[in-house]
Amino acid sequence: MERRSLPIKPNFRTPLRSLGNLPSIPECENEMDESEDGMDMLPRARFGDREAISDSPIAEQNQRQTQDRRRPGAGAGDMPSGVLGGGARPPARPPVMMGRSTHAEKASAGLGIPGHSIATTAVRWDLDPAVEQPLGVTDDVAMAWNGDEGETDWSPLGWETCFDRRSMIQTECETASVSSSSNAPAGGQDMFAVYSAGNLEAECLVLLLHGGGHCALTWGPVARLVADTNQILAVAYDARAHGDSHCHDETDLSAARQVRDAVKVLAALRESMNLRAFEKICVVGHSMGGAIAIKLAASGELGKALFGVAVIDVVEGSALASLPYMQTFLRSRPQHFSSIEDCIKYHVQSNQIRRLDSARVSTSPELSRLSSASAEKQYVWRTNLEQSEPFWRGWFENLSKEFLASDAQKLLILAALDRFDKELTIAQMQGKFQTAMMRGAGHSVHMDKPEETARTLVDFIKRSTRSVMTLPSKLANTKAVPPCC
Amino acid sequence: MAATTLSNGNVDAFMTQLMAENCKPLVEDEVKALCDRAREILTEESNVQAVACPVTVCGDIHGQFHDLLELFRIGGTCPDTNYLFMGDYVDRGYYSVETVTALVCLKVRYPHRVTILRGNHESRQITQVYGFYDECLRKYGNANVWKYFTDMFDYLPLTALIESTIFCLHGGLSPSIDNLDQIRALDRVQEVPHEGPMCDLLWSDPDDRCGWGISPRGAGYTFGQDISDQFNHQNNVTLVARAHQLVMEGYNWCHDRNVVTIFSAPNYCYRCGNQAAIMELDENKNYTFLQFDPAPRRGEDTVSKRSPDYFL
Repeated sequence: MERRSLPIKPNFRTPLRSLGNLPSIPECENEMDESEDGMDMLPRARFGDREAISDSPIAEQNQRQTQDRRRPGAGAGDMPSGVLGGGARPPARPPVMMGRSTHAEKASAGLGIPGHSIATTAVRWDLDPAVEQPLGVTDDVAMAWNGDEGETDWSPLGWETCFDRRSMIQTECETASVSSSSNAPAGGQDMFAVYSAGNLEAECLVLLLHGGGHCALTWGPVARLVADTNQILAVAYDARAHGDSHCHDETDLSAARQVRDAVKVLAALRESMNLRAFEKICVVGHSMGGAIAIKLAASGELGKALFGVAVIDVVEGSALASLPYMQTFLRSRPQHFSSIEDCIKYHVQSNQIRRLDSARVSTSPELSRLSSASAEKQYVWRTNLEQSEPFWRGWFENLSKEFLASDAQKLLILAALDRFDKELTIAQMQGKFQTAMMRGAGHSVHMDKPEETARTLVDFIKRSTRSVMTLPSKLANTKAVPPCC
Repeated sequence: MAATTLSNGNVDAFMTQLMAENCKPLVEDEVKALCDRAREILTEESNVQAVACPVTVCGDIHGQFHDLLELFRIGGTCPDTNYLFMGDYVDRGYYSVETVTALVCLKVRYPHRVTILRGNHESRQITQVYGFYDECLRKYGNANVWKYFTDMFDYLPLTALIESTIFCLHGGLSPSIDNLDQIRALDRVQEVPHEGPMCDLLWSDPDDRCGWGISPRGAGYTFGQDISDQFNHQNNVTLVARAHQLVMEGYNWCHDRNVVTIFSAPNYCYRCGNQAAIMELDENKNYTFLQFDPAPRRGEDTVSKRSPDYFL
């Protein structure tokens, strides 16, 4: 698989304005791309590229790392090998087309990606909150499945679609004797698949924690959009027993264990990357990951670096109330698929994921391939969620109190108003935290509404990291002429 | 029915229809006529609308129509009692349409006895996600009524000044604003902006900490006692009366009685267990707080539990 970089220098100026007066950062990574092969205008690794995804994730991705390491790309040189070491920004990251596209564009480029559109100027998403959304636009999802099965490209997309670096991080495991993942490395190590997107000299870091049964790539579109501000480094990893992470004990999904995992992964990354972004951390989590985000914040392990906690569609009261239905829901899912495409189709057609591009990028690591099974049933769910039931209550119990008790700035992103419990309704109505409702999104808000989610996160981070309170200027002291009075 | 022909008799009939047992909403054309008339009246009002005593000051209602009727039972009916409402009539409760219709009827019928200010929920953006828009669709089958109301909301005054001594508004103070003349000079006829002085007036909260702070809400600011001290002194007012925050007793003093918060939606969202309150001011500007509990229900507010689509 040959890769060459594109000569077009991404223009980060447009998204930057949403970060106001934060200091600007040199565009180091992209200079490299330009000098490497300047005249190449070939589009490659399009969303539809079948080769971008692996049938055997680990092997293929290792191969990709080796390949990337050969490149003198910016990222790799900045980091010790091993940790994000495969880490060069893949030269051919296609942009995530997050705006609305015409039917013609979709038809011509699979997902509305014109061949030359690597320049971010061509990416039609806008993080400017002042742009008022006309009514109804929220229901008209550009990338939603158009209902025409024949015309739809269900193929999976590679992680490079959204992330810049991928690597396996090894951490000390706590219980070396239990082994439920044959893929776990030998010795006392657990292995986590870690992805990052964004400028290595970014001001701050967002740690993105995915929900139960999901994987780090569910954050892909949001990570890309947030990272494209050039001031935020987005980091996501596959949790224990999820995606491409492999641990000795894959049965313990307790909140405490997952919090310790997050601390270890961050510490390992920090040690190897040594970036200033680790001094300012915002933890963002969806569903189970939201619970872990809150408990990670409550643990105090991140110390003064933690400035914000954002959780997506998880509230203690409504989560606990829905637990009795979970096994039924889990049983209602198909248990195997003949291909990754089939599972993407299931996600979209069942409305679990309301954006085709999000489903295409995130589905692959959520599946395991059985070599012994028939071709019809070769893919099964990677994570045995049914088995994690003993931990469910522990994820959500006490969540509202812990969320409100955090000193960090707090953001709650919800898909629907009925998620609120009493405690958070009172606190919200007292102005204790920021709420964002995402109209038209399902439970996987960040996948269904990536632009809105990213815009909300960037605004939240921008407000929360304002170290010095800069007040707006006073209004002019002109004597008014009121209509009456 | 053209706006100009809307008579007192018409409005009285609307109110009878609303307040009667079955609490029937107006038809679309009636709402349009009502909003057109309201706009004509509101357009003449100041950003700092002057209000005389006696008057009863009320906070958030949030579509809790039966509790609004209870409020009138406690506080007295119009026109026997003058009212000042400080915004947030719609969203969250299940009867935003009835609530805002009733209040606008009162405004149109008794323009000099009823003052209705703008709250942060009187906005196109907020109502689309917090219930009013969906309720309009549900009750009228289209968004016209929502549009009539939200277009009218742009004309609502931002603040009121009672007898030159009590400054009333929905949210709180703004770092851009030192005096009332600056508020009078604002161009208010627009959607509530995401930032700036008009946004702050509808979003800010008082805080225990001194000075200005970043609001955890994501809009507006928090302001300390030093700020309200200075504002009240400079503008020769004794009190800032505002709403916007749920307070369990229905009202709450802060900043050494520079600021009072009034919240008039009992058991907010049918789950918070709070009392509601209104502030009565007599001819001599003496205040009395009247607290009240939720109106007796006949089960109509029972939240319909959807089967959860909630995943882990």
